[in-house]
Amino acid sequence: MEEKVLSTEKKAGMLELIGKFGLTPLGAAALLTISVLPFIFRDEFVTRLLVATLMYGALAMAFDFTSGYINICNFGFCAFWGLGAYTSAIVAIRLGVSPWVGMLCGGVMSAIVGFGLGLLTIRLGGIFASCMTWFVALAMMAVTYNWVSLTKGSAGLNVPALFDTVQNAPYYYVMLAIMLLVYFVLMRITKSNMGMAFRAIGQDIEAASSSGVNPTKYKVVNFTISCAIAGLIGGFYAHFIGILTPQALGTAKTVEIMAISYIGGRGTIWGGLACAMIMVPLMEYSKGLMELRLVLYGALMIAVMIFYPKGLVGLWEAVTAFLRRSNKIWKPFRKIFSKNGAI
Amino acid sequence: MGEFGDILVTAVLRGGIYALMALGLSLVFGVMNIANFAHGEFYMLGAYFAYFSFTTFKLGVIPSVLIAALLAFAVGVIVERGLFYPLRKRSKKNWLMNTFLLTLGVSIILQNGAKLMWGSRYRGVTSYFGGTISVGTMQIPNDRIFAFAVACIAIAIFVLFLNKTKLGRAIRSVSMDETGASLVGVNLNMIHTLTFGLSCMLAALAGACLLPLTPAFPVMGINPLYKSWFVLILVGMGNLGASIVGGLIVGLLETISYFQFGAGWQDVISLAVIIVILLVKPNGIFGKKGVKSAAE
Amino acid sequence: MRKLSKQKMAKSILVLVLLLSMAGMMLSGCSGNDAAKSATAAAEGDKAPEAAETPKVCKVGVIGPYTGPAARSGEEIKNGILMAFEAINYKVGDYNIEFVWIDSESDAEKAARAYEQAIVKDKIDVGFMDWHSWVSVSCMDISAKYQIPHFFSFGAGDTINEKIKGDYEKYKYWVGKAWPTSSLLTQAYVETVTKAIDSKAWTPRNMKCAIYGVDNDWGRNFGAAIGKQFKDAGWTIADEAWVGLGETDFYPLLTKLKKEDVSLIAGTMSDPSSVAAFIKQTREVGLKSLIICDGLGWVGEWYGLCGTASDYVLDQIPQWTTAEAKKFKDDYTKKYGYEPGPSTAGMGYDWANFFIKVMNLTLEQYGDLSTESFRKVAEEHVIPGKVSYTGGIIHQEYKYTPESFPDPVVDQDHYIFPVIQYFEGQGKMVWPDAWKDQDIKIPDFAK
Repeated sequence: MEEKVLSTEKKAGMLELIGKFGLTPLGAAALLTISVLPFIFRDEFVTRLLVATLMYGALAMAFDFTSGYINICNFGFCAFWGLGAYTSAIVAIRLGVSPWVGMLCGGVMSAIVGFGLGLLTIRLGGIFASCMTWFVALAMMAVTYNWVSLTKGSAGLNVPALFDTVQNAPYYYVMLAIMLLVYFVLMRITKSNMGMAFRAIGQDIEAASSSGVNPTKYKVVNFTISCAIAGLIGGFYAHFIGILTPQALGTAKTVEIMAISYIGGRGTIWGGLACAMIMVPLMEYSKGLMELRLVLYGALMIAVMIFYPKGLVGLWEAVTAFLRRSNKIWKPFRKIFSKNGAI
Repeated sequence: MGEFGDILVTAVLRGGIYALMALGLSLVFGVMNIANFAHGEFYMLGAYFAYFSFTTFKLGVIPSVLIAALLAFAVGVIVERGLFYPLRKRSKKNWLMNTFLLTLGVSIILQNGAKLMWGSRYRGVTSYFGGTISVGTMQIPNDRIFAFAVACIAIAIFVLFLNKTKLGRAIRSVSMDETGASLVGVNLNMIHTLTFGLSCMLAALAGACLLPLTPAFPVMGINPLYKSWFVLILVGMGNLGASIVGGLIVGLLETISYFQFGAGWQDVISLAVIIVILLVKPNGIFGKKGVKSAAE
Repeated sequence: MRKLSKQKMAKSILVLVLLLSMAGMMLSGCSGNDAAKSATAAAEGDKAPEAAETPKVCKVGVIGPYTGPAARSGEEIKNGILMAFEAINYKVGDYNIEFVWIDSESDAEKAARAYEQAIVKDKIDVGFMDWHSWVSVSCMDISAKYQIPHFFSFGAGDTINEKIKGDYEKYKYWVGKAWPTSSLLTQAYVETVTKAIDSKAWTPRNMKCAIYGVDNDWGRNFGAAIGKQFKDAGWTIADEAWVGLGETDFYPLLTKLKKEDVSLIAGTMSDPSSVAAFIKQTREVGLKSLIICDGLGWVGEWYGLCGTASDYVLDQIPQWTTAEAKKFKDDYTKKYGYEPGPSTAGMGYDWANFFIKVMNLTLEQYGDLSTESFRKVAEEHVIPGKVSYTGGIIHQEYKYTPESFPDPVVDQDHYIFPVIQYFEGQGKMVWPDAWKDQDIKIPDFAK
């Protein structure tokens, strides 16, 4: 609990500072809460659930970095996650390097292939680019199935663990660190000139290129970054769960990430994270409903798309705007709730 | 005939059904600008409807297939009216991506709804007609000939409908220029609903015809969905006539790569070929530079 | 400049926060897993209440793919288990047996999460059953972590053996596979075929064979095992063909095999729609080979899907032979509306009965049904093979020995699938000799 005390003391001075990183005070408080969650609950299952939550959140942010900004829905996103996982695992097994190095290798490998994917989609837009990423992902999955001497194919690959300990908490903090890294990197980029260029490309590629933005360059950069993140997280996943099958590269996972990112809100980065925080535990605790749960999930996706295409972020913005307008009582809190609506 | 003949027959039978599936997908994309990822689920519904009319209600083959098609048309109309229509009223911006996720939601609901309603039992029939005919060295069952014939007839009727009737011409005019069409008095809402219904009908027709080949079960729609997207991307979006050729090309491509490579690598090969084609011709083989071209 | 320093400061603050929370974690220790009722317990309302009232309850966590692509298998196993426990009225001694159904969704990560939830939240005393190999591998770590013994899981994959043998002390809580590694079973086909050739019942026109299968762990493992064994028996492997899950058009594959003129094809598919389509199409294409198709009869409705095309096909599957087995089949059909598959519902039922026997033994030997007692019974009785189950409807005897572990003992007196040949939907046993109904018959087209 001592961190909280510490934070309140320092808060005033930090306000502007953390804003630079795309954090509002509220966001910083949320962050602190997140980082102490494992001791609040003291529960191995909750910690594991939180690991998954953060992982899905981080993946959704990286996904949003492509789909929400340059407006290409990377339908093969999870193939890069799986590629990173496999690379990390194989490097660790074959070369005997530590899993930490393996994770980095996973990120690098996915970045390289992501760079290639970026090049492939240069001439394509919209649904064509999505389908291109999808086909590349399906091809990657088929290769993973068939390159049995390297990946052990569908039999599955046993992967050494990241820690000797059996507790989930260390994994949680590693994942938290990765998530924060992803968040800050993406926030920095999207608030920079590059982020403007991404948005410009996403909105109107011809207008962007006529006003001097080089779409090729930015597309490729965007894909490389997004895939590198997916690969890094994939590396973590491999050493966390201990077994990989080629299904990790499948479309089903991408759909999950995509749903989280879209329901969260496109073009916001943090929307995906916030949505993962809600959706992943929600899905976990409603398991007893069996198929009905998935029907409700589908219905939620539809409802969000029809009534709140801006997703949770849109909802949040509406709420904060209402609060700001409504009452003077809220005056002292104004500062907390503003800041571009980002936590 | 020999080996080459076998390959050709195999490819044509495979491709005919792809064409039927892709036609519906292409129609919806061309007219409504919806990338429909629930298309496979209508295929599944078609199979279920045909199964129930054929076995439970003991209707003949042709009535069963027709009933399946009509019911799927009805479901399609309900989905369009219930979901796409309100979405269209509410947002124009980011329409393609919004509908994309919407169709994913529809797909999840239909898949799991089917499981809730009908369980995970495999519901199939051994055959519709029985009997085979010889083509070269192969014994092609009448059922597959029937499925192929239905595909051909449906496509022919459909092309005639689009070209020769007033309604069909209205649909085509909407696919070319929505605003222009509405200016000359075409009822856009009606056309959209009709188009979506027809598209679902085509998918269901494929599912119903192939019931002897693939029994009905909740997740059966995934493979046909993949394949019809291959065709669509290969020939270019919204190009109706070309999807027929595209279906045959994908059928041939898969058959040949199976033959030459096999052992699991066939998917890699056919995907690689499609990727290369997409690189060389970003609008698809028969794609024209137009409203719905690749570079959106 | 100013901007930079601010950045640096923010970074250091972050690092500080992280370090502090890390330190906090170390100090507070990672021991307790009590608390945590809070927001989470409410959602699990359906199972919670009974636990409080009845004094003696044993909670069994059963892993299975209850939703997702393999839901059918999960459902059948669940029903099989329920029927076994219904027969004892969910009571062992003065204990009431309660189930926690752990849905793996066929995904390693989700399964591990659900399993941990069952252990921490639902407080299961013991684990039972599973279907996929990869799910077993990820859940194995959880079972090792809490030292919860987990009895009898399906999943034929070698990855499980590899992991248990890699660190036996750690993973010994994963008590046995319910389905042995493929190579232990596939040998029966090779013996059947070899005998047919030796006895001149079959004179194949060449010694070429092709391996086919579904492209997942099951299909590949099976193909690799049987391919090697046929090679050792003097066959050449002319080709291997793998198809995606759910594929139903096999014309390209079969046309190719036909061209290669193999006299034998051997393999497996794991979903009924594929397998039925495959068998039907072998006849349509005019394939002139003897067919080994493992798992053709896995679901009850298979004959309705593929018809007489299945004549002469060899399969290795238990039949509903005994009176008890037939009764089980009829009861199941009456209760759930479709015919059960012997290797899912039937085996689930048998292993559940073995598990009941283990429970009774635990109570007898150690006086309670606690996790600790299950641990002991696993180590002292189940793994050394001091307890076995012989009343099964599918197999003669279910038993482990230290040598066979984690696989069950596979031989004619224990766990064996007879090789059968189908005629008009009826399986006739052709191997082993002791059980056989008739000799293997070779179709004219394969001569």
